[in-house]
Order: sequence, then C-alpha cells, then structure tokens
Amino acid sequence: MATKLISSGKTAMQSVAKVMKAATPATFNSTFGPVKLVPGTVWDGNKMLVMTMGLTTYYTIDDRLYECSTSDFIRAEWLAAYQRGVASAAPWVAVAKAEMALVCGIFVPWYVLLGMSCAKVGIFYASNKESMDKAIKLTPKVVNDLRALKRKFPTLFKMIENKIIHEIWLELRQGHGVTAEDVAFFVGRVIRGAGMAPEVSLGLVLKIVIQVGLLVTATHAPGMVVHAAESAAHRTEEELKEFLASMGYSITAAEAKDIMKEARGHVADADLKALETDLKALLPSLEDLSQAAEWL
Amino acid sequence: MVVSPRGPIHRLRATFGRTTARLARPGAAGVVFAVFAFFAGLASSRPAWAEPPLPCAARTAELEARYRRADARPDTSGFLPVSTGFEAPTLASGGASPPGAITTMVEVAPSGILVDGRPLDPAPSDRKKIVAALIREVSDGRARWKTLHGGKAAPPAKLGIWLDRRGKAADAVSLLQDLSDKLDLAVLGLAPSEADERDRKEPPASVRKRLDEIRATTDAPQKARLIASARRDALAGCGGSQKMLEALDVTAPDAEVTFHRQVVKTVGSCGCAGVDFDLLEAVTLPAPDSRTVLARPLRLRGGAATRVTLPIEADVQQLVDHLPASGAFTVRWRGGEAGKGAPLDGK
Repeated sequence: MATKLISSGKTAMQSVAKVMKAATPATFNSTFGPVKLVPGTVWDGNKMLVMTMGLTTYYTIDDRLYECSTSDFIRAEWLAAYQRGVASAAPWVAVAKAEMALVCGIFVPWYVLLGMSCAKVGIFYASNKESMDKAIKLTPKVVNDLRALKRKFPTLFKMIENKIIHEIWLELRQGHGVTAEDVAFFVGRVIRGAGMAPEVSLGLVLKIVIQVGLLVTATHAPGMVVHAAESAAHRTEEELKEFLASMGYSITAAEAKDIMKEARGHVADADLKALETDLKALLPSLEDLSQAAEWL
Repeated sequence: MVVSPRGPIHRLRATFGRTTARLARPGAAGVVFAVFAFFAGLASSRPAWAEPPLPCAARTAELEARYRRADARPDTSGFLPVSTGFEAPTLASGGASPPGAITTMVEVAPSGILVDGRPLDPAPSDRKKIVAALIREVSDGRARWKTLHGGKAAPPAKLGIWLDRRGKAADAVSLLQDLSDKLDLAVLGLAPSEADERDRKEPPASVRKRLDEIRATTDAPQKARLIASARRDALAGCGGSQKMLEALDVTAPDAEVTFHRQVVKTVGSCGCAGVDFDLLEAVTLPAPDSRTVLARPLRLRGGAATRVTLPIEADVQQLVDHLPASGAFTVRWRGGEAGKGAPLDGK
C-alpha cells in the first residue's frame, strides 16, 4: 500500500481531532520485533502519528493527513532515523492518553486562528504543559463569569467588549457548557489575538471589573443615609467616567448611571468578584503562553 | 566481521576477521578511511587495480544476493502475532494468498485477545461477550475510517484471526462460528519454513547482543535510534554512506529495495573497507528465520456440504490443517461428550 494523501487543511485537522480522542497505542510486529505505536507521538517537529487501524497507519505532516501500510510506515521511519544521522537524537514528543482529548480540542481552533498543525499543537502543549493545563482548567470559569457579566451588566459588558472579547464571544458556542474547542478558541484568541498581549486585552477587563467592584462596594457602605447615598452615587458615576477615560473609554453620564444601576442591582451576586478572582488566576498562564507563542 | 583497509590499498587480498568491538572510531580511523576512500575512488578509474579484491567482490555479491532474496519475498512481518508466548499455527503451502484484504487483525492468545495490537477492552469473559466486543471494534473501526476519509463508506470488514496452535479446536470453532455469521473471516498461519539455507547463519555474539537489544525494545523512537545507530556503525568506515542516505527517498514505496541496492554499491565503492558485514546484514535484512504469513478464508456454516471431521480433543493446529481451501464448511466432532458425531452447530 503506497503512502496516500487523504486530506489537508482544516478538513484534515477536523478528522484528526475526531478520531484521535479515542485512539490508543497499538503493538505491531516488524522485521525487528514488536514495536509500540503511540498516537500523538510527534517527531521531526512536524509529523504526528494519528493512529493505527488494522494494518494501516495514519499520520500528519504539517496540515496534511496521510495513510500508509504500518509496515511501510515503520520501515520508512527506521530509514529516516538512519538518514537523520546525529539528528536522530532529536526529541520525540508524545501526548499522554489522558491529555489527548484536550489536545484534540485545540487542533481545529489553533489551526484556524494560529495556523498551527497537529504536531505543532502537540509540541506546544508538551512544552507548556503547566500553563496550558491551568488555562484549560480556568478558562471555562472565566467564560461563565463573562456570560454572567453580559447577562447582569449589559451596559458595562457592551463597553468592555473590546475586539478580542467580541471575537471570542462570537466563537463561543452558545450554550451552557464550555467545550474543549471553546476553551481552545478562547485561549488561542487571547494569546495571539490582534497583536495584543493578554495583559492588554483581558488585563484591561480585569482592571475595569476591579474598579467597578470597588465603586459599587463604596456606595453600599453601611449606615449611609439616603441623601448621602444619592450624593455618593453621583460622585461614583463621575469617578467611573474619569476612570474609564483614563483606560481609553469614553462614556456618557447616562451610561455611567446605567452601569452603576446594574452593578447595584447585583451587588450581592458577587459576579464581579468571581470574574476578578478567576481572571487574576488565569492571566499569568495566558501571559506565559502568549510569550511561548511568539517563538512559533 | 570487518574488512581490513589494508587489502585494497596494498592490492592485497582483504583480510576478514571477526570483531567483538567496534573498530570504526572517529578521528584517526576516520582519516585513514577517508584517505582509503580517496584512493579507492581513484582506483575506479584505473582498470589495472580498479576491481576490489576477490574477497570483497565475493562478499558484496553475497550481500547483494541476500538482499535480492529478501526483497523478492513478501514482507508479512506486520501480520505476525505480538502476544508473548504465542505459538502460531502453520498453514500448509498452497491454496492461500497473502492476507492483503484484511482490515482488522485479531489474536486469540492464552494471555488474552488483541484487536489490531490492542487488548480487547474491557476484557470480556465469555464467548458471546467476546463476539459482541469484536463486532463493536469492527464497527468503531469502520466509523473511524469514514471520518478520516471524508465520509466515504469504509471497505467491507475482513477479520484476520490468529489462534494459538495449542488451543482447543472446539473452542476455536465455537468462536469462529459466531463470528462467521456476522463477519468475513480469514484464519492466519505461518507458511512452512522457507528460509534459504544460505541465509541461515548465526551472527557473532556482539552482533547478536545488539540485535537482541533492538528486538527487545518496543518503544518506537528508541528502536529507530538503535537500528539507525547499528546501521551507521556497520558502515562507519565506508565513505559515501552519508551521500547515499541523503539521496534516498525514504517515503518511496520501493525505498527498502533502493536502500539495499545503494548499500551494495556503497560497500563496493569503498572496497569493503571498514564494513562490518555481520552487523550490516543483521540490521538491514529480516531475520533468516522470519516466516511468511498466509491467510485462509473461513466460512463456517451449519449444513454446509463440506464437512471437516475432527476428534473432540483436536487442537487448533489440527483444525487449521483440515481447513478447506475455500467455501463454506461445517465441523463434525468425533468421540467425547460434545462430539457424538454431531456438528457443533447442532444441525
């Protein structure tokens, strides 16, 4: 069976993402005894073993998906290792079975957003495992916090919905859950989005959320009499306007009033605090990933 | 075995000697060999001493012949079972074809059942569950194939089954019968020994040790590294091997054949100097005792005209020995409780 190109581009990434989730290592015989082929193994920086099925092996080179007989695949790899000579000691990277579903969820979004092939995603994941795992774990929380913000603080959300947040929002599937692909879209967009560092895109959101939270808390200080509260609210709206102007956002007095009104209505919900906490936890990992992505 | 560079340079017969350690060393040895290679290159344009000495020519011719014999044999190593301690049955010669159309490989070994080199998961306990699990595997495989091929329908499933030769034929027939109702089956077996006597030679202990190390490693990258390293060492003193490798398209369907031809050419061009033939043959040729795999289509049908009669205590090898070359058949059991002359399917 000659090596055959099956598909390429996004179609290939989609097929690989679907089948690799369930792919498991398989042992085959060769002229030099049994050999274990592990899906998700990356070598030469651009090749990834997708799976073996029957006597056929599927693998990718960059964004192209190939099939060939397992015997030919093994033989070719031995010849290639010999051909590489001293470079044959170059590291092979294997994505662990437990991480497969996560990595598969990244293939399509990062191919679309960042032009990264399966192999590159595998290498990136393996090289930045700690930050990736943290980002993957915390992103659903932040996405849900943003959803709550959008629902309860529509004026504030509309104002802070910068280009990146807007694009993330468009890509997120509308639903209650956050899929692995949604997470990958979010992380991919933030770490390489519109040439902005996460500290600028999401970091700005964080600063605003913190400030709004502080202002709302101040207007709800215990023992505040009615007229004093009205005066404080007015002052708070002015402060909000000034603060947002310093962040580069111009809002009208009416918008400031609406934002504070929405905030006061949900002051007991702790949504702003949750978003602040989760964003603070997520941002360092995204910063690390953003820096690592610069080397791609 | 390493050929001394003294031979071609001094126009003497090359001397052959067993080695237990690698002779090829970078540095001084490399310079010697480079100088040698240079002279050997000159030699090729001077007919008076252009021909490598006879032992080298003979050795190269022998290597070439071994490569030719190996390349002419179908490589069915990928079909061989991988379960530890598995004893494969032998299929009689003739009446069977290479197992090209097989889509799924199943190994029924004393240690468990493997499907395409993976343990059947979860390990089922009884025959019905095994059959159900195998059918599910086939179905999942077809679905994956369809996904990978952009929604095209998968080719018909054909199971190639290895049964340990020591297993009970009656158990095997029960399993095969259940599977045969639902899937296309072929029983796999080894062709009778066909190794050429000329290829049967035990390598020296040092080579054997390296080969054993390679065979014992199942990790793909590590195995590739060990093979590459052994191949490099085998030709370490032979100039031109790097050039030969650079020109090789490893993805070409005939890459192995081309590689063999190029090795012979390279060895010849450096007058066998610094070539460890024992190591070279060990790591560029299949093991001399490697066997071809044959497949025999199998259709067990109750009431089929063709009947195979076996003693109830028959083992799998006996069953395989009596398989008809083609067509549906039924099994009758002779003697014992389950036998009583009735076919296992009860008809």
